[in-house]
Amino acid sequence: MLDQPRKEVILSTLGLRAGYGGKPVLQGLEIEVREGEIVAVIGRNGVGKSTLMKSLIGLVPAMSGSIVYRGEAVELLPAHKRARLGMGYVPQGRDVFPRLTVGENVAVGAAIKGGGIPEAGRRKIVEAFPILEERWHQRAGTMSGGQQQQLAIGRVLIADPNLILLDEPSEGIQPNIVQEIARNMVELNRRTGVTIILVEQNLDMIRAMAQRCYVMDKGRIVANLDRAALDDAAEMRRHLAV
Amino acid sequence: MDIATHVFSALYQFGDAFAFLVLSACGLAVIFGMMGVINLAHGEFIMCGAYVTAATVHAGLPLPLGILAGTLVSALVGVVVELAVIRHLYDRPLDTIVATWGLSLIATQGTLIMVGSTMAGVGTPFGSFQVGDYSYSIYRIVLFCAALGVLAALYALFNWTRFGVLARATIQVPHMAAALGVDTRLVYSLTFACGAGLAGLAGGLYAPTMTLVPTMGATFIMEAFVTVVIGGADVFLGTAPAGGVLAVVKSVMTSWQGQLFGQIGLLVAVIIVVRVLPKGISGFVLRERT
Amino acid sequence: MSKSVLRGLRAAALTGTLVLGSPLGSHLALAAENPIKLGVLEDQSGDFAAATIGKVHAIQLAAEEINKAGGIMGRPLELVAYDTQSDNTRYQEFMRRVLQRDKVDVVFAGFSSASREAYRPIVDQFNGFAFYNNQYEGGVCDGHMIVTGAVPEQQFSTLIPYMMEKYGKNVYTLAADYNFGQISAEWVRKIVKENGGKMAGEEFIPLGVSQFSQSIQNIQKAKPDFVVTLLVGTAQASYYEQAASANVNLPMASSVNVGQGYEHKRFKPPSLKDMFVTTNYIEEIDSPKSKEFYAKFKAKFPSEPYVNQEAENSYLAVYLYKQMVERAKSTKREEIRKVIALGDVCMDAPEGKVCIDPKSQHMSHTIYLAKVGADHSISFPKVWEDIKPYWLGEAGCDLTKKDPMAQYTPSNPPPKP
Ligand SMILES: Nc1ncnc2c1ncn2[C@@H]1O[C@H](COP(=O)(O)OP(=O)(O)OP(=O)(O)O)[C@@H](O)[C@H]1O
Ligand SMILES: [Mg+2]
Repeated sequence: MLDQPRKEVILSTLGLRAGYGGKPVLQGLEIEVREGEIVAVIGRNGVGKSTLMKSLIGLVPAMSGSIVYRGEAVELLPAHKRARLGMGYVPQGRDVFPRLTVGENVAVGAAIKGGGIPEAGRRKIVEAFPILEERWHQRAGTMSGGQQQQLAIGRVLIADPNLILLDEPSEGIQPNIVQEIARNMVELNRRTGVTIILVEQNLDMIRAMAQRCYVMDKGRIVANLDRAALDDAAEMRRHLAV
Repeated sequence: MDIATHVFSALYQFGDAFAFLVLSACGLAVIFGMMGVINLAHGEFIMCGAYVTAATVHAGLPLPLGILAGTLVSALVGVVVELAVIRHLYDRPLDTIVATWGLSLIATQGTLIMVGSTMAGVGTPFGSFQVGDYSYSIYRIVLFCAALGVLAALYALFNWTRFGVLARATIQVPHMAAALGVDTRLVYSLTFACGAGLAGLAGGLYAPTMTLVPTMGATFIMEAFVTVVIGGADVFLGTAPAGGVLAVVKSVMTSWQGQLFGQIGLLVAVIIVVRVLPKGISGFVLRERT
Repeated sequence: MSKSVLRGLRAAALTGTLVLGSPLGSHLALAAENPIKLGVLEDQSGDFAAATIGKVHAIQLAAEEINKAGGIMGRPLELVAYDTQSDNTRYQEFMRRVLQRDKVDVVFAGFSSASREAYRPIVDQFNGFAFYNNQYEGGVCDGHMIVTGAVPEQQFSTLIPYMMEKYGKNVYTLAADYNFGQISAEWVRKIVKENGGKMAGEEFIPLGVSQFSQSIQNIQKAKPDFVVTLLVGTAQASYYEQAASANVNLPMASSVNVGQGYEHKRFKPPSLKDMFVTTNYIEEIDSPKSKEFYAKFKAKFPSEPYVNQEAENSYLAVYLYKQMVERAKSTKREEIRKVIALGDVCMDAPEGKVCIDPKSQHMSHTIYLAKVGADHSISFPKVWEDIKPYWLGEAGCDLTKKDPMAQYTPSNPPPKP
């Protein structure tokens, strides 16, 4: 799949404005992501990266502009309907259900498919993240940050999404687990062609995963870097520390 | 009188108080615990269940089916109330209190105007039995079993069903549940309906034992709120143990000094618990756990 | 109850006044006159409504009859009705309103003793004139008040000796925990002792309590020969059903049940089996006067669930008021009290002959002993005629001489002069 040259656009936004309490954080933001891509989004703290992700999944309503997902305008749909169209959201801070067990957290993710946890799906995520198997009956709130991050990703993967919105998965997590997550996600992308939008500050993770990278500032995309630029240490440092 | 008689009578009184506390409180606890909504119309859902039960029994239905009808009608009214009122006030908890209070006034007055100041009772089934010197109502044992049954059913519903897991996910992190595809509004509607239905069930179960008047819900309210305040937001970690503790307080105080002291005992228990465990028993248990 | 009537009442309560419908001609003729205003403060909703809506209807019936027959001294009787909602603070609010704003000539007000004691100081303060048409625990010695309901010496000094003779001398009292229940229980205690009996136990139940398992067991433990139930309000009435289902199976005696809350009609038999009640009126009384009253009541209010003693008290009170005003040729309280002092303000009421006692401004009654059968039918094993409200007068209350505006009890009698 990956070596087909031009893929369909899976997600694009036009003039997207969104924010909190009537005050826009995203100021006419435009992106375009093709099927099977892994695209990183970088930018200083507070430029609106998380707001973009929340706006894409529907947790922050669009004030104006459009979000087209697989040919359908979704900006007016509530979050749960977007999830049912195949968007998977892994939030910054993970937001696992603390008093549900690992298994129940995964079951919430699986519920869109209308039923329990499919055995094949379960096997798929515990192979990628063996810790989930080990802690299956433990309450999610008692796990470490890295374990919770793996759960938050597994919880989304169980529903076989077409697009995964990953918001700072490396934040507060040991480097070896960051590497494992990155490896798993790339592997998954190769195998299934799932599209990933990755918000990150961790250069290693970006380099390990992304094929290109948007740079955000003040609610807008200010640059679109290709793979070569990603490997250019000086350029990247400039963008991350704008 | 021998020891066994005393032990049985103490157990019976405990069970009786426990049943009333738990059945009164369950619906309130579900709605408060799951949705954070303080439903001041709780008593009127109880009244609704009792009235529908009595009406259907008068129309010829057997009592168990009448109680079922009372439960379902209350749940249905719950859905309507949630859609029409509660839904619009989720982020305004104080307004919800005022709105449900208004609803309760409308419901009592509306019932008074439409059904009249009183409704004929249906009579308590099953008769009585004798232990030692005392005779007891069999139906009170049924009520105790019903209270245990309701707790068990709620436990099963919230732990072993898909709806239960989604509902608990929704209370814990609502936006994340939505982002994972859970229709949280539907969950809230169903949860509210569940709470209203439980209130209706309490009304239906107690309908044979009580005077049926538009204001009857008020007689459940004190026990319901006391139990929920002491129990905290969780039905199993809160309502059930709170029902147990309060039933001991109430039955011991009442047998010692009469009903007034039973009520004083409940209120003193509330004051102590609120001082020592501001988030109730369940809040304490949950903090200890995490 | 009739929906439309209630709606009418409610609307009337909102607008404040209600002139009762009378045939157009006489109405117009009467309306030319300055009406006599009668304030009606009764509970049309809330916990007590079941027992008190009939009082409002009875007053409407009497007013309509009086207006049809030409009014009082040719002046129409106008009712100013408010729903006091079984709430004592409402009584205070509306009592101020009828006395100050509506400037009524007389007020008929109150069901529970708590409500009466809530409004009575206001009547005294504004120098009003009020009728309390309700049986109660007795003892109100207040020149601003006329009481047409029965009092303990009328209800208990007949009932308790009868029960003790018939069933035995061990008595248990279960009473509502407020002034009515406390003072009534004191009367029961006193009469039981005077008759050589013994109190097996007493329990006071807070208003609004509806669960009685423990009380039932306390009663079984005390093994009384009969239980005096002085329970008030619909919540407490749940006792009977619960006691029956626990098979307590003891005779019961009461001054408030049946005659007030018609529990025998509302509850499924046999929960009120062997309940004995002394009352001055209930609709089952089989005299021509009673039947005539009942027929008139039902003709005007076909869906009235029950015509109880307070309805009759309220009905006859309107006629007594008419008589007193016409004899005094004035609606002034001082003038009316001069008529009362004559000691011959009497009338043939549905229950039989009643007279106002000048010393206490309470009323003599025919007291019927009503017994509830297993099928909840009523029989009358005994009737006492012309039972006087003697206690206040004997204890030293004499309103023709002095108006202390106070309530007394056997343990707290009027001060000796
Ligand atoms: N719930 C909220 N209500 C109001 N303002 C918010 C809210 N969340 C974020 N903001 C504001 O919106 C702006 C963008 O925040 P956002 O979380 O999108 O930034 P970010 O780029 O993800 O930053 P970080 O790198 O720290 O995660 C910030 O100024 C932030 O203070
Ligand atoms: Mg962020």
